[in-house]
This record gives sequence, structure tokens and C-alpha cells, in this order.
Amino acid sequence: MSRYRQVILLARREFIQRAKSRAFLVTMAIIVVVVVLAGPIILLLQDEEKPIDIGLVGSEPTGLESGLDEQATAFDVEVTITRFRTIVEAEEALNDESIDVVLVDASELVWHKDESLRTATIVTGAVAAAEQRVVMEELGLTDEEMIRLVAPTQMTQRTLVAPDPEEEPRQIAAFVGTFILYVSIIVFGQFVAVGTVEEKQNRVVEVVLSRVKPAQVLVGKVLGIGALGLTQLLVLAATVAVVVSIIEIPDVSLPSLGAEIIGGVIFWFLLGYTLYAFINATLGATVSRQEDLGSVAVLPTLLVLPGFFIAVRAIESPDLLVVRLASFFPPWAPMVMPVRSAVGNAPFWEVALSVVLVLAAIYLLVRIGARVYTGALLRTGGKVKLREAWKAARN
Amino acid sequence: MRQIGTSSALSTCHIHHSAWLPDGPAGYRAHFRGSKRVMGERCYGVSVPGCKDDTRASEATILSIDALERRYGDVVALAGASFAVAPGRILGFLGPNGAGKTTAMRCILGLVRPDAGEVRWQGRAVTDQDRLRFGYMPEERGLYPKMRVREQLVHFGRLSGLSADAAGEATDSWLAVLGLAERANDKVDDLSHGNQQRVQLAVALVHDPVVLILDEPFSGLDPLAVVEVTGILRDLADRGAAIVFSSHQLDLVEDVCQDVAIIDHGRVVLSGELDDLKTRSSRRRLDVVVDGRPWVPNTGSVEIVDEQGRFHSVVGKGAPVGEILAAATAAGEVDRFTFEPPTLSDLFREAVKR
Repeated sequence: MSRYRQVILLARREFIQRAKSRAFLVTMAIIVVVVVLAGPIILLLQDEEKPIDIGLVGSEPTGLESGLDEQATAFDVEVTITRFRTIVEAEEALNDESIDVVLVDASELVWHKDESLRTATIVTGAVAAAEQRVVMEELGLTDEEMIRLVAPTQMTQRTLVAPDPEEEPRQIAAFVGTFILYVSIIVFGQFVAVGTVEEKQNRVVEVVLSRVKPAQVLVGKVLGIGALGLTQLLVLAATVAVVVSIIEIPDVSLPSLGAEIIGGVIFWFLLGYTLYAFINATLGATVSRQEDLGSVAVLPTLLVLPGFFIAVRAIESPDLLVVRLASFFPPWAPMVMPVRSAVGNAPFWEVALSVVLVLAAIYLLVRIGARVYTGALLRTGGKVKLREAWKAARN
Repeated sequence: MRQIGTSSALSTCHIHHSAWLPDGPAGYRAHFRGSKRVMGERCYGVSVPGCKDDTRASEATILSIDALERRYGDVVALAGASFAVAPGRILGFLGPNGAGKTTAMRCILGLVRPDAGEVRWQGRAVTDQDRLRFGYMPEERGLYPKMRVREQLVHFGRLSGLSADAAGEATDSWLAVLGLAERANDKVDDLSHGNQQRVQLAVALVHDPVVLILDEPFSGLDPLAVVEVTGILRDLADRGAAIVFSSHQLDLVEDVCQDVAIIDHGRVVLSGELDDLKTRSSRRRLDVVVDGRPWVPNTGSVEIVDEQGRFHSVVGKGAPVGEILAAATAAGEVDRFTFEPPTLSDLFREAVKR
């Protein structure tokens, strides 16, 4: 009977028992539904921008309406125009949000709550152009002269860096990926802590330990629950693959982008989960009752949180010093490094170094965890201090 | 000195048991009589006159704990505890609360590492591989509450090294023996307390252990279940298992065990074959009732024992029985007069001095 076979048996039990639980199946179903619904929502967001609805009250310069159209065209949007007899009616429409802004006597803009600089620019531009036309007519300019005066200057444009059509989808995907990583690491890490306390609380651990060593229980539990997390991510990935195949974004290869992000999420989940799972198991072993778990479970949650915030920050600013440093700090690297990779600024050697550092941290945590497990698993009745558990496990 | 060297546990034939077979529940007696093991046919011993079948327990077959020491901080749990149990024997492991029973059992199972001393099995220090053939029922019962009965037993069987098929077969046969076949697919949580205890026992037995360590196996069992479990233990011992169980129910231990070890303050203060310990005791139990009342002789060194309202006296082994009987007869009509070796409960009280 090899040690490894026993570990596999323990992992297998963890996996099967949890995979069968209603809580897990319901969570899976919710995830699938959310992802499937996300597809149509993204498609809706992709639609043309909705036109700007402008209300007009009181006097207006001639040609304002065509001026608004011209200005809007320059901004690549459409406008609709509604005329109101009184300002009261117009304000009601604003309150209903059936219009975006009201122009009163061509001299005042009334908003519901939020001003829009772009809409303001369009409207003031149109009013100015209409007023200029009036002045030019008064001056008796010929049509040709007027066109020369008001014709927009043609300017060519260029950028130093080629615009990347993938940038925005990448950032969105990186954000979603980071979020999934963060939630998965926390949720499955907590499973490990809860599972450890459960075995202690219902005392089955003594029966288990009469057959295997504490370190085997520790590794078996982390492996089994990790396999469960991996399963969930694979189901998620399969659902995403289906959804992605029906969405099209110009100039972006969604399938390859999706595969890259999902691959990164799964790879870093395995590292991040393992790291936090051993922390959770070690802390979980020091308490005897579910009720006491909260006091220690908060520690890993607090540890993982800054990593998540830095990772979110890294999406927009992957070159910040704090981002680069965090991508090598083992507790945060599993969330920050994949973002750096996703938005494309992490050289291979940095990624490799980060992976090595996380693996080293995991090794250390396994050693600590195995020893604390040995010292704490059979101690029931209260909280065992980490140091006591460490000392109790003389080998 | 090593306990097994001096212990009489291994030095007497089973034939003695017929002498103290109790007037217990009918099932007991039937079981004892119907047992495949015919009293006196097998014996383990160093040198036993009159024992025909001389199958002896040697160092090479027994489980022993040797001078185990273990402290937890300032608390001494074991202070050089030793005893031994041979295959086919059931040893009752007794002691007041906190005497070190659970720690000693955990040492045997490798759950606790002793500070000094060792657990020996078949003539050498026990290994983890050996322990895969040990079965354990801890005092603090524990099962996976949400796991189905059969799944759970198969899991533990496989964890002890059985193949999936063998674990399945063993599980089904134990479920049948314990009357749990119909509950095989129930969650442990949904079982009655008694049935959960049965499953707990099955977990300890599923891998056909050669050594069985049971911490308070009878606590929480109704009398019928006690009969059932003692029957199972007897069968296992008959098939060659060495069984150690702790209990506070001394009458039960007296019925089931051939050997006892009494531990107090981390030391084994008395151990050996139960009948032998009784006959070798320097004390005798004198229970006399005259005119419907307990009667005590007024001569000789006498100790009066109150066992939950029932009085008896303790006298020396060589007490003048004839004179005492004459005195009792003179005192009135003798309703009862027994002069016998001490009971286990007497031995226990004497050994732990309280």
C-alpha cells in the first residue's frame, strides 16, 4: 500500500463527496447560466451608440437643425430633435429621460443631472455655426465666400503607436479573468479550511489518522478540492468557448484571445489555489469548531485582497512599480502576473521567475502545514496556537 | 522488566473460563458454548502443566507496549506503561478517567508518538505497514456524516490497503452481519445512534484487522447491541485477532475478557490473566446474609465494602471459613454464604487504591 495511493484515495473522496453536494451543483449551474447570458448582453452592448435626444424650447437660429446634424456627424453619432412649447414640458421630458438635454432660446442648456461634454460641444457648435451664418448673411457674403469661411479645415492624423484593436477586449477579458481567479482562490481555499475543521469537529479525523499520516490527509484534501476547482474552471471555459464562438468583434480573434486568457486563469489558479489552500488548511487545523473558523479564515482573505486590487490596477497600468513588484510576491503573483501577461508586457523570464517563487512558497507552506497538522489535528476543545502545534509535532 | 515476561496472561489455559463463566444473558452463554473455540483446546503460555495443546504465544506473535512514556506539557499521560496481548485473546484495558488509556491506545495506533518506550508487534517495533492491519474504534466516535454508509466503509477499507473489490465484499458482509444491509445507501447522518455505532464498529473491522483496539466500544449501546458486539469480538478473537478494549463497565469486561490490564497514573498497576489474578489475590470476598441482613464477622482483618448499597466483606485468603460459618450460623438463619475470589471490581479497587 503506497503512500501515494492513500493520498489519491483521500483526494478522490474529497472530490466525489463535494462534487455530489447540492451546493456545488447549484453553483455550477449558476455559473453556466451567467456566462451564457453574458453573450447576448455583450452583443447588445456592441450595438450602435444610441442617438442623442435634444429638446428645443423658445427661439432658435435658422438652420440650427441641420447644424446639429452636421456636428453630430462629425462626432459619429445621430441626433433626434423634439420641440416643446413650454420649458415645463421640456423639463418633464428630461425627468422621464426621454431626452438628454434641452436647449432654451439657443442660449441655455438644461440637463437632467449629468452634463455631457460631447453633447454640449455638439449643441454649442451647431448654435455658433447658425449664428455665424446669420452674421455672414448680414455682411452680404456670397455663398462661395461663406463656404470658404465655414468649411472645416481638413487635417490628416497619425499615431506614433499603432492602435491595437485588441486592447479593449483584452482589458475586459483580463478583468473578468482576474475576478474569476480571485473568487476561485478564495472559495476553494475556504473549502479546504472548512473541510479540515469538519473532520476535526466530527472526530472522523482520528479514524482517518489511524490509517494515514497527517501530511497525507493535508495533501489529499488540497489535491481533491483543487481537482474540484479545476473541474469548475474547465466547465466555465467550455461555456465561454461556446459563447465566444457566437460573438464577433472586428479585427479581434476572440477564440485565440479567450483561449489565452482562460489558459492563464487555469494555470495561475492551480498555483494560487495551492498556495492559499495550504495556508487555509494549516489555519483550519488549529481550530476545533466551525464557529471558531471565522477568526482565522479572515487572515488569508486579507492577504489575497491587496493582490486583487493591484491586479485590477495592473489592467490599465501594467508598468507601475508596485505592479511589477507584486507580480513576484507569491501571495499576489497568481493574480497580478496573469494580468501583466494578458495586457502583454511581461517578458518570459519574469513569468518564469514568478512561477518559481510561488512554487518555492508552496513547498515551504506544505512543510509548515504538515507539521502543524501533525501537532493540531488530534487536539480538540479549543484553539491551538500555531506555535504550540508546531512544538507538539516533534518528529 | 518487561511485562510479558512476568505476566500470567500468557501462562494459563482457557480452560479456566468455564469456572467463571457468568450467569449473564442467555445469549452470552449460548455464544460461549457454541463457539468454534472449544475451551481448553487452545492455549498460549510459557509453561502450563496440564495443557494438552501446547500452542504457545511467543514474543513472535504478540502485541506489546513496552515502558511507554508520554507527557503533554506538565501533564504526564504515560509513565512507563507496559502490557501485552496475544492473538486470540481479548484484553480489558481498565483505569480511572485520565489514567492514560486513550494515550496508550493512540500510541499503539501511531496517532501519538511516545516520548520513550515502544510498541512491539511480532517481535519487533511496529511499523506503519503493520498498522494497516490494525483496527481502531476511538472513544470520540467519528464518521463522515454526509457520506453514505457503504461508500464510507469501502473508502476506509481501501485506505487500509484493500482493493476496491475486496473492500466492497468486506463491506457487504459486515453490513449483513450488523443488520445494516438495508441502510447501505443511507447517509450516516440519517441513521439512529445505535446504527451509527454499528457503522463505527464496521469501520474498525472492514479490513479484517489482526489487532483491534477499541476505546469504550460499549458506551451508548443498548443491552441487545452489547450482546451482539461481544459476540462479534469473540468471533474475531477466535479467528486469531488480538483485541484490546477499554471500558468502565467492569462486569462486562469480566464476562468478555480473558486478560486485563489496569492502568493508573500512566502506569500499568495490574495485568495478567483474569482468573489467575483472582486466584492469586491475597483477598477473598465474603458475602454473608443472616436473617435477611448483611452479616459481617467480628474477627480477623475485615474490610467492609459498600457496592451501591450491597455490603460484603473482604477477608484474607487464609481466613478460617469454618469458624466464620459457625459464627454466622450462631447469629441466626443463614440465607447466603459465599466465600470466593475477588471480582474484577474488587481487584480494580485494590489496584487503583480508591
